[in-house]
Amino acid sequence: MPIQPIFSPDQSALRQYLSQWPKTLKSLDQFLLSLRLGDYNNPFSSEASGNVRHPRSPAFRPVDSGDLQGDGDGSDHDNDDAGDAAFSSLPRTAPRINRNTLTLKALELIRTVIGTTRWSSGAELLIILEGLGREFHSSYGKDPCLANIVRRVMNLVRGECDNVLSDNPPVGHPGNLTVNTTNLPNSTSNNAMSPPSQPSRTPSMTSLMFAQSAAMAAASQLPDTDLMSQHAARFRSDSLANSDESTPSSPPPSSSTPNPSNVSGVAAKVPPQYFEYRSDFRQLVMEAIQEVMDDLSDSSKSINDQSHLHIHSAQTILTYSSSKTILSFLKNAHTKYKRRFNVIVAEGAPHFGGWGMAKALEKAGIDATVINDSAIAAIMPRVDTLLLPAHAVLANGGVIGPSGSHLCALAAHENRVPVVVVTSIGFKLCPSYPHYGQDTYQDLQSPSVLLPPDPEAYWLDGSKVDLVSPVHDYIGPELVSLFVTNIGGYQPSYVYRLLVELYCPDDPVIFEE
Amino acid sequence: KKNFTRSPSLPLKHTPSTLNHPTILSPYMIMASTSLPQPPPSPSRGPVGAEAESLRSLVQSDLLSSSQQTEIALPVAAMKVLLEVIRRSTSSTMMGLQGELEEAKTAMLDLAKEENICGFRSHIPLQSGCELFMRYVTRCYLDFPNFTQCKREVLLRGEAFAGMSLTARNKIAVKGCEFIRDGMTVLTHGYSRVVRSLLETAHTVQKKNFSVIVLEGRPEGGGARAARQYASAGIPVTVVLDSAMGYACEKSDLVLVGAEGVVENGGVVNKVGTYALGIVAHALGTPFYVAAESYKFARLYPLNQKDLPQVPQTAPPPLLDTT
Repeated sequence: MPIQPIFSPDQSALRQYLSQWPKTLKSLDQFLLSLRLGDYNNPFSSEASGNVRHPRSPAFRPVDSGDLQGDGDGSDHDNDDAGDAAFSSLPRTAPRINRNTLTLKALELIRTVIGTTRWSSGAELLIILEGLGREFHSSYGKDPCLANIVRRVMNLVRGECDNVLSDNPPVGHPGNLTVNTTNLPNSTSNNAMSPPSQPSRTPSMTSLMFAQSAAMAAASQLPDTDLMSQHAARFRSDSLANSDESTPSSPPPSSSTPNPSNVSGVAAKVPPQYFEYRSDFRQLVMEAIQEVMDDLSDSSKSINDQSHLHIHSAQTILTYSSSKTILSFLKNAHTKYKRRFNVIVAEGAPHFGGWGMAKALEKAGIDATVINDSAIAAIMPRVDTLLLPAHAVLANGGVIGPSGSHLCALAAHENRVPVVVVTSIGFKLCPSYPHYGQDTYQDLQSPSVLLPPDPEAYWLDGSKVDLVSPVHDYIGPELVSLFVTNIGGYQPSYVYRLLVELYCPDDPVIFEE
Repeated sequence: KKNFTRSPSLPLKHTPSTLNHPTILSPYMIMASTSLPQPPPSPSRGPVGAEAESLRSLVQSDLLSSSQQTEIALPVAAMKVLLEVIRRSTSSTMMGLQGELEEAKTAMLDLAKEENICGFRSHIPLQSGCELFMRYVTRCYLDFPNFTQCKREVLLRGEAFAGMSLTARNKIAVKGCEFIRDGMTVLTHGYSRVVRSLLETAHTVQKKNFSVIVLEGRPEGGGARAARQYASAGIPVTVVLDSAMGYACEKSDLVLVGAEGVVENGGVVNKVGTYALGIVAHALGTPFYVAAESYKFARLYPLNQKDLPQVPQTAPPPLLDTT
């Protein structure tokens, strides 16, 4: 039975297309279901009968550092709870998702879908990916990580589409002045620790013009060659057809195959050569996805390798609540680079993750001090560096961090203390701006986290007191001094370049209808 | 590759045929002369000279008529003229083509200055638009073994660039609308078609509720003119004196201006009063956004206010009619 191609990224169209491979559709549905049911949340979530996590509660015990093991950079808020069965008696008051694991699972799902379905061209693949993006958005839209990873894969696909065409330089050219083909071996723009000085192959002219204008003062020649390769590629395929070079064979265009006139969504705006079939394309895309997965898995190592640059002996470091990334960053500086510093940890109400962080630090042999959140401003003059984690990094260089980190950043700015945001950039870099200020990507968690310990909370029953507990804070780029990421250290003003490397501006910012 | 546009600018009377003269020993000329038939020496002087004249008349007619239309930006009209120059070009080398484009650009700039087409706006966008266009289209030279194919590609790139510049305003409007939220007050200065397009899209297409405060923009009162447009589009608008910018900025949630040019350090050249507005916005912590097309990015690095290229004014600017 002939395979029916997909023409539109609507959810119904995607499902109809995937129904030709029932197992794949089933795994997609399972993933979405587990997202919605909160399987990726910590198993002990939400119901709290009184806040036994409060330090003044008699039942309080700081969580064991077993929870803070493993490489960081999945969830960067509130790592302070039981993955460990020994602490099942402690009810969790906020869901915690390990986003690194979630993103890897999403990538595996994408890889499965790409591997099993019989798409025939880059444009069709873009349609499938956009459809997947919409599915993810409908199940888990409040967290940008899944949309970011889909966008990243889409950019890789676009890059492969462009690059394969520039493979064959025209023959008979005077001298050796051909197009820059060195793009090809580094087929992703995300080698760990390699500075992204070479702009990736973005097909959209506006983004190339943007990069070109931005690079004009630097008089860099690299954007020019990309520009050349992209536009010359069109003519090259004509001249190749005239000469005896091997041209990719494409099936004769018919109304039943996707072509620029009958597709919708992102694929309606791509150049026509994206609709050609190429036999090696599948392999290239799978390799590229594998590189992204490796990059995500290795991100903490890349971050930790920079710890000696930012942490020195006899320094006082302030950090907020708990974060696996920051913990492994600090531990690495202590054990591998033998730096002797001391850490002040803000306890991080209402989850009080700072206590768990302090315990983990102490176990690693680092001096730790726990302070109240209200003491941050008072202690800041004694601090040398502020380290903060990130939930997301926005296009203007701003940071979405755990609730309370904005306070730290403001106090640090007041005291001329450098603010270093330590995060992996793989799925956290968002191409959106903080259009809603502090409400950007904001979420409110259950107000039970704010309740004082039993039985003091009973007076709140029936009272008009409102309890609001936001999860995130927005920190503007003017407050951040440096981003330490798995691809190097960058200033907030450089974030726009990272965006151009990872994503294509033609891809949707939000995967909505 | 040495950038041709960086060489000293040619005087207008310079006959283009000498550009094709084989005694100019740049490596590209050598390449061109070995791989191509020699360009005809003196008979080309006639038609090319006539070409220069027809160019001037083309420039005059096209550019002047476009300046009457208020919708197409002047640099975009200039790019269309340059496209036409490429189409009509009889040159057989890239350097010849570049020379013709350079001549056309100079002709247009001179015309703009003489006839005051820019209307007391700066000529920076015209210059930067032409330069960017020329750099973009002539960059494909190294890819092609012969000039005919190259010229085809040049034309294609030119059309793509001009097309992109034409749609730039719409793209800015769509992207910029996201920065305006319901209940906001937007402060703007002077009459910028980009800002107008953005605000009208936000109001009509995206159905956002916001109000606008416009500084009247003396001496020619561009702001007052803009306010009339916004009012007819249905956007609540208030016109205030230029000197009320501090008062108005306090009431505003964001400041949005257009630009004549964007300079190399990220600064902006715009109507007089924008600098003061920027200082006020910075002091009050109000976000200050500039809506500018990409062809306005200029190779300028002004160190102070006086450092901008000045256009000698031939007539006093028209005063705002306050009746």
